[in-house]
Amino acid sequence: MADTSNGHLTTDQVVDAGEKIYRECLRDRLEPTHNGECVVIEIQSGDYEVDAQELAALDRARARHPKGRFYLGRVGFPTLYRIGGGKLDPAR
Amino acid sequence: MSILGHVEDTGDSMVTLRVRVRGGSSLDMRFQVDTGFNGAIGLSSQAIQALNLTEVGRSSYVMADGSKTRTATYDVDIEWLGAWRRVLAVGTGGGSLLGMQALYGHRLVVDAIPGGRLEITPLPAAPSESR
Repeated sequence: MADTSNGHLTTDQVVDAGEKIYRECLRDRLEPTHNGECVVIEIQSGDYEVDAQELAALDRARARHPKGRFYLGRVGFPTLYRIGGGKLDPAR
Repeated sequence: MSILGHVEDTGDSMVTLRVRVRGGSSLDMRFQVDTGFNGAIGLSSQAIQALNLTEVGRSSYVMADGSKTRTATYDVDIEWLGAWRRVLAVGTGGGSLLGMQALYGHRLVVDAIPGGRLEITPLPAAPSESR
């Protein structure tokens, strides 16, 4: 899991860590059953929450790890959101 | 009850919404209605600074050209049809956006001419949101 002992992490560091955890530990567990749902990963512990409602998943993750660093993704898709009509290609 | 906006000379469909730090201060902000955005709201860097928002996580989105952008996410309230509504916001690095997740369960009507009227009204009944 990611080493967050040095305090501040950049967005790239958090997203890289979250994507790595997802790719290596969670993808096979969550796809395709939870495709389309939001996954919130606490990057230091690797703990995660999945829910169709993003805020519900985030609330549970924050309750477990009040000082956690969280990556938010979408199961089965490369990003949580698309903007401007970009195609959310399922291929990750 | 409805939310009213207008179409600018540039063709952008705009609404003004009050955004609140959860349990804190609030500001009126202009949003471009973007039906190509599948999130609830996107916030410009200026909006994030003005509200002094603290991020709750990091995430990413894909643009129309296929490029991916990494960004922070925020937990905020928007004033919606007379009540505060909690939404997850994402930093856009550009303008502030109102997306389809916020519009779910509503009718969006736009008179697509300069100065045209934009109206958002709740549908009488809508199925549960799913993706």
